[in-house]
Amino acid sequence: MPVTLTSLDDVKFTVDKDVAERSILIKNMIEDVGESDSPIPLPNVSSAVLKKVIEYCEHHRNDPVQVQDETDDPRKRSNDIEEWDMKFMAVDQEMLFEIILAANYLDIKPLLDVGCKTVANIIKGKTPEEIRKTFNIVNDFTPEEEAQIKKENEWAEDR
Amino acid sequence: MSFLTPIALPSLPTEVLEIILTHLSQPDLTQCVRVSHAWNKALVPYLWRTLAIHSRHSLKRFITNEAQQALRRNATFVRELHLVHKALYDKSLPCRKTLISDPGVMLLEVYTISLFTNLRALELEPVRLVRPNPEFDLEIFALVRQNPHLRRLLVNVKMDPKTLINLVTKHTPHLGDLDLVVSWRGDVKALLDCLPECIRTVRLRNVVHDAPSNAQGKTSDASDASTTLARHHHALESLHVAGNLAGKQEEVLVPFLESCSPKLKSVGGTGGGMGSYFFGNARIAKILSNLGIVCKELSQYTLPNNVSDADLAELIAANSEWTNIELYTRQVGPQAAAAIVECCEHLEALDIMHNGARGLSGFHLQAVLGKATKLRSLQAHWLLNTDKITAMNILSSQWATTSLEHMDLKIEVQRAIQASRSVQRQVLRRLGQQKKLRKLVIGGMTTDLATGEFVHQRDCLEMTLESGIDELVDLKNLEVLDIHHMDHRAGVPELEWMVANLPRLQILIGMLDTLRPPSDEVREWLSTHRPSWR
Repeated sequence: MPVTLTSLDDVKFTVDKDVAERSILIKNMIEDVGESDSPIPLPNVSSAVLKKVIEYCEHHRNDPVQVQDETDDPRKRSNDIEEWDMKFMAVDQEMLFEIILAANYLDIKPLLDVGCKTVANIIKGKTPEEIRKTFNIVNDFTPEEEAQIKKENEWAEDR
Repeated sequence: MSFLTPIALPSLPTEVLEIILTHLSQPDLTQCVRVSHAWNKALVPYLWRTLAIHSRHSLKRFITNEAQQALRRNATFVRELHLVHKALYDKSLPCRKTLISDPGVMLLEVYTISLFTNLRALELEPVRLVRPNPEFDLEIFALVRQNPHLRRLLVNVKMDPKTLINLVTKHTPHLGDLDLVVSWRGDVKALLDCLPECIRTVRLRNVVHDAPSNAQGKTSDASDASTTLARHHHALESLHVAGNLAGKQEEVLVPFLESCSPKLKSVGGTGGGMGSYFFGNARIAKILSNLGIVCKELSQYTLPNNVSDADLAELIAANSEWTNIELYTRQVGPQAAAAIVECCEHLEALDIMHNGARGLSGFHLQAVLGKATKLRSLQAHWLLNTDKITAMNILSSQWATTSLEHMDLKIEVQRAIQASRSVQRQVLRRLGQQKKLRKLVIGGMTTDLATGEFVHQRDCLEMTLESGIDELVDLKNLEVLDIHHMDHRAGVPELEWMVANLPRLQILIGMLDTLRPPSDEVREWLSTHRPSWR
């Protein structure tokens, strides 16, 4: 049973229902509206991003649905990103953040998790200067300010 | 969403930012907060969530002026505080002493400590002091007092009894996890009773129960002062109490356990020669069993040091789900023996090896064999003269199990009677039916009634082909056969039979240690065919 999704820039995407329902937001919308042919509008997601999101959902359409566990300590989660996902996430930063925001809006938890983990991996192990270069951030600290901040938080550096 | 300007990490929605942060360590965050003003503002609160300084190195960096000023700004973000070094909070900052309403308690307010008011978790580790500070626990008291949202408290510092109880009673209404690591002497009953209703896990690792109101002397089960508690500790999941409850575990634990719900899944703790506080006491074991916690393994370590026959029987009878009863060094009297027979339906392993068990007899063992369908291991070897299993016992009824893997029994068979060989054959046939048998130990020393000497067992199986050793032909899994200390008559034909029919037999003991010296034939056979057998 196909479902039509309309992006921010009015592009229509037709996908199978089970693929679309990897998004809890869409799943709930379908349940509320009932069986209908009218397309589901997603005014917060551009077509480029929606295309990627759909690609993810199609690849993972048969994954078991993750059970929300309140007591789940995220730090205990397994930390490996599978290979397909890694290749999928090898996009420019702007797209990466847009995918994350779309996954948050559409409520696709596995995609959100993978996106966040990818961003964290980019940050890990880098010095402030390296982080700035990676994310194209202007350094708005004076050297004295930065030195001060370093001294303030140095106690937390070793682990 | 499409932005005209690049998306910045700090401007992500909080819930997304927090997911990213779960994958970043505190050291990672120290780099992040130096990136830009925006990153600093967004991430400093997360960096300061945990204040756990464990090394001198970190400590040195913490007591700088910059860090201490940052502490004053950011203490409000601290959710988890591990106090290890006193220098952490005892800087040369102004401090004042205040008398508060609790009589005899002086509160020393140290400026920096008063900054922490948002703690959810507090770990108090032993503090390395230059000079011991007797008011240290009062400072802790102050710290806890101002953090009413505390959910987790680990105490590994010396704390006076009243202080700890006051802390918990009055100032930690949301406490979920209490871990009392340090040894603590006080009224354990009062401590347990005053725990807040939402408590989930309690660990008292080394407590000594000392309740000043109780006079010396035993609180036997008669003087039952279990008042019903006002609180219901319905959220408790795990309870561990170890140390020395001065023989009063019933008084201390019963009211508390009765206030718990079936959410309680895990209990543990031993001490003071009383074995397991929970499963070594019949009354407590019963309460636990009502909550769905059933101990399935009864070992000598579960029991108090000097448990009477009646108490042991009561304990065994308290539940019928025992899978393992291993009382190796404990005497099993008649009442306990009867209780074992009553409750052996699920028994998988029974080990009663004490030299001189009184009350446990061959009748009991046979009864167990007749009831325990899952029995895999039966060890009752060191029974003295009067306590053994006789051929008559064995043959009196069928065995319920076919899964025996390990048997260690002293089997008595009258040798002087005419039908002896036929009886022996039947006994061996019964053993031969246990096809999973891997280890078989029979026979053993007994006391010669006439002389009182400790001698080889004479009224035992002969273990010859004529008397039925061939009935063991199906024991293809047998790895160990131990027939020493018995006056058996096995010789070379039997050895040859074993080689031919028991392919897995690796260890044979008892050919060289016999009443009569082994024949040269046997010696020679062994040295040429199976040097490892003896």
